[in-house]
Amino acid sequence: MLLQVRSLEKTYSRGEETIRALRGVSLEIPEGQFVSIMGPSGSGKSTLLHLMGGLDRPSSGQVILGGESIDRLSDHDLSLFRRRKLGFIFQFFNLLPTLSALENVALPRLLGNESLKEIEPRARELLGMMGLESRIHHKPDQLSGGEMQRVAIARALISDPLLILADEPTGNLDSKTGESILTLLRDMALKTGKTIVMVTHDPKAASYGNRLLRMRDGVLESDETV
Amino acid sequence: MRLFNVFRHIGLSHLKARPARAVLTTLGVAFGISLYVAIAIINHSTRNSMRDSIDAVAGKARLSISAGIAGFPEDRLEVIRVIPGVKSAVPMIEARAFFEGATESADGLQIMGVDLLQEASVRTYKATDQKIIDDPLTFLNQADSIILTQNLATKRGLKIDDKIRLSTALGAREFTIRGLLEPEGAARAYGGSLAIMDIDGARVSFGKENKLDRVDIVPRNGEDLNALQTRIESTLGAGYRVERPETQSEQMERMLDSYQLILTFFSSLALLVGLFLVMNSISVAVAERKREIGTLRALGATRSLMVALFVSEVVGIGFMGSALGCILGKGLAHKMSSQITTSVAAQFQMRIEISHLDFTTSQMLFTLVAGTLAAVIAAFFPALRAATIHPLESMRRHSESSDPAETRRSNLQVVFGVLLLVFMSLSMIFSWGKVWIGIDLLTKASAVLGAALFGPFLVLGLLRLTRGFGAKLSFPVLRLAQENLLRSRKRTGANVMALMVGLFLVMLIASVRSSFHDTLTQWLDRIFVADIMVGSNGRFISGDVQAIQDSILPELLAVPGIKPIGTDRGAATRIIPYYYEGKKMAIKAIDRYADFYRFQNIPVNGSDRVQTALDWYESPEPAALVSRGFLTNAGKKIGDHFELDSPGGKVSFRIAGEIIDYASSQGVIYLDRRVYKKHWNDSLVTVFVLNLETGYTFEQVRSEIAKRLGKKWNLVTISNREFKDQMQSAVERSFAYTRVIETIALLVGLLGLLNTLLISVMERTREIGVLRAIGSTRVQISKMILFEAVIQGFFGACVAILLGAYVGRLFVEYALTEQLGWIIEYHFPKQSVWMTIITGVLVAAVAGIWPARRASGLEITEALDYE
Repeated sequence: MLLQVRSLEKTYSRGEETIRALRGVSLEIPEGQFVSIMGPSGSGKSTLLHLMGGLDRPSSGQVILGGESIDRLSDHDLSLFRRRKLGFIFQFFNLLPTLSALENVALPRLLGNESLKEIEPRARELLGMMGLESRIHHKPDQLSGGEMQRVAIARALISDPLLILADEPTGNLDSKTGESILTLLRDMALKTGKTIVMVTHDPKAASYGNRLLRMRDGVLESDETV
Repeated sequence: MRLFNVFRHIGLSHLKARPARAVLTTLGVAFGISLYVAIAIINHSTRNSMRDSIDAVAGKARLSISAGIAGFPEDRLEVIRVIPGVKSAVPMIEARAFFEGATESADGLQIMGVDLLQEASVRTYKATDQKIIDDPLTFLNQADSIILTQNLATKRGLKIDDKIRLSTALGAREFTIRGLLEPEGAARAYGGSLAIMDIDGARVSFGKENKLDRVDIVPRNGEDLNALQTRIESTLGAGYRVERPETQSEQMERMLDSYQLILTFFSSLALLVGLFLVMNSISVAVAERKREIGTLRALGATRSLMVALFVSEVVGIGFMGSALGCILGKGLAHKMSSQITTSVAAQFQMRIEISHLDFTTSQMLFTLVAGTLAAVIAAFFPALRAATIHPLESMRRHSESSDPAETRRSNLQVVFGVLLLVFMSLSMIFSWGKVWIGIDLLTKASAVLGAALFGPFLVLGLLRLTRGFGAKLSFPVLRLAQENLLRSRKRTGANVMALMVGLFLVMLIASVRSSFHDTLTQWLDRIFVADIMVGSNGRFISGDVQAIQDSILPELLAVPGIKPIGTDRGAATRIIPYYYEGKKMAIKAIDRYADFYRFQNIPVNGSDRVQTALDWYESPEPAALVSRGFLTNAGKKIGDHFELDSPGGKVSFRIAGEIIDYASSQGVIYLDRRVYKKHWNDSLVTVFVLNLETGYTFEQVRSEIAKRLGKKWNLVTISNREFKDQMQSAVERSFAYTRVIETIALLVGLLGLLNTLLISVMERTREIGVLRAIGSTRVQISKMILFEAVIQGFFGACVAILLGAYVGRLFVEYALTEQLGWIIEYHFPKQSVWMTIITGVLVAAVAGIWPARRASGLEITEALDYE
């Protein structure tokens, strides 16, 4: 099993109020699945994604990815883990405005010990896969929203991660561009066998995955195959 | 390697993307470094020039004998020559002379009256016409002969056989230049402001008949110097100083220590302001790039890598800034060196001619490394905050909501600032700095850091206080500006900090300057009530004039319109420098004009004025009045006895009282001139103090003195008012160098404000877009940003005045009194208040222009899309 989530709890304090964002969520995701997580605002879907990606730590419970319990890792090791084993796709693209598309894609490996020269062939290949051959030296402000998200997808793939986490990847795009991004994600999952977990509030977007998890009030409400 | 990757691809791209910010920060570092470098160069060169002068004059001599400015009997030379171990003993007369009409010390030159036939055994000279040195008989045969240095001749446009007129003890005399010296050997001394005369001619010209000022000793080979020194001391007895050249250097350097420390302190403050700029710049860069940092963290960047990224961005800035600072600093040193030597001369009665400004390669390398390191340290703390940014920031849309951790940090900063100010206050009041110099430096640094951390809190308080007033104004843009400032405590604090520290420094210096100025004015008004002062030319107020024979007094008193002071008509004062236990003090030998002291205000501190004056004069045993500096340095109290070395031997004086006098910070000793004349065998006078007869005007008397005695004696007559004006301008000149420090601090403050304002405009791009979308004009946006800048400048100045005056008061009343030995009363610099406010507002307005233009130039759609 690629990802195991066991009795995951997450509570936040907001002033004097304590919010239980996750209330004992457990699930397993095998390799190669494209999982969509849906739910209304405040259902805990983003919190779950953050915990799966080691962006936040659970109040209790466990996240095991590729056989490694990530909640026990130190901050430093968790950083290395994210760099090597995870790919992220954000709603607001989060490209570095001062870097070119190529450099943005290469970024996770640049954070390691590799030179751009070493990474460049693979980054170019991925950008080619995304249909951005002619845009590799463009800066983010010279790209459209869809192009920026394609660059972000290429960046998520550069380290050949075990798992790709996408947080509302089409939330900031028009419907047509959104569809093309989702198609790309699905094709990529099929072609590369990558596991993808995508959080969305859009049922149409969710339908691109092959498994759908529904959440409400911090608990997993349903788990269905699409 | 990883860091290099990250810097090359991320750090460098940010520097390239925002060149203006990189340039501003680099300039901030450069200005801060430049002042530090300038002061370091001047301090270093002053010491080198002093050592060079002492070594050049000493030549091959290993010991020198002197007995103070009044000299010692000529016949002692023969006694010295026969002391076992003395190979040669070469005599010298030393004097200061002034070109006719001189009013500045720069117009003075050091006279060395030497026996050219014996000089070769001690000193070497190289003349443009070597005959004058090798065969000095021609030179000696002509009594008006003088040799100048080539440097001095070039500076004054003189050549061989030209005539020059110098003031001497016998009045103005004409000399003929017989030779010019190359800058080698003894001619290197005193920065070249030097003239060689025959010893006999010098004796006559400078009132030192049958006297010597100095004898240089070359010991026999293999002679034990310590033993020889002891032998000479015991042979000559009390009143003689037998020193090695290096001891003289050390003594003078020790004297300069505290002064140079204050200079270094002020220059360090400017450097500190520059480093604030770096800190601010990185601090706002971290805030601005929060999401980027979150993203990098999410992508696997470690905390240490984030710190390294921000620090690496500063390395280049620190290095470039330091390099530029070195270049600017050299130029600044040229501009400031004469101001500082003037200030040293005023404070220590010690004229140091800086022959050349040294800035060695090792000093430059040290500055480059230290400057870069300081910038890195300044960037380190804000960079640490980058490490604490959570990867979840990558998921958030940028918002300005107040972060509780941020609020906690701000509160902590304020508390820390208050604690630093409390520490600084206690340390100054209880003189903790005396225990260890480190505490002294820490105290001064705490003053600046405390003000920087606590000041923004006060600014925000003032902003809140005036919020109601702003609300009443029907000026929406002003109100909006005020609300913007109040909304982000962190941003406003960062904006105001750099400028406020600059203004704080201005106010601190103004406090010190005004306290000196007003204290001296009050002192002068109290002590100096006579109508006229008469002396030879030179620098009147510091006693740096050519002394003249007191035999001139009857001629002076015969001038119509002159009214003698006191019952016995005596009105002369002799001011001489005197080394007491290695400290350079001043002796003021004053004629008995008891009526003057009985009815006027003798500046006695803490005891009955008239009684003390009478006790001093009427005392059956020799008595003296001494300054606080003397009491502190000598470890004595009123009623104690102390000994002075005179050419006639040791003389014991009873301390009759404490006087306030600013002639020397190390100590001033008032003696009765009768006692002085008797023991020092010196009848020269520095200045005559006289009154005007009723019915005569000052101008009438001045022109009469000039007509009767002026030409012959080269006399200068000045009025009470003129003397006080000279004193005031001397204080101004003493502090002239502080203007440069203020300007640099303000420049760095301006750059700091400009930098943070630019960033704050960038942070609020979307908000500005919204304002434009709902109908604000470009002019309104521009005005809003300018108002924000000006409001911050105004309140920053108000707080700077408050804190500057507070720290200034403590500094003047405790630290300065302690360090300088002068009693300086604190005087609030009223005239600087408006100047500080106007400067603050103007600097802020100038800093606001560019950000205002940038904000008003934003396109609405782009601004709304800005991330």
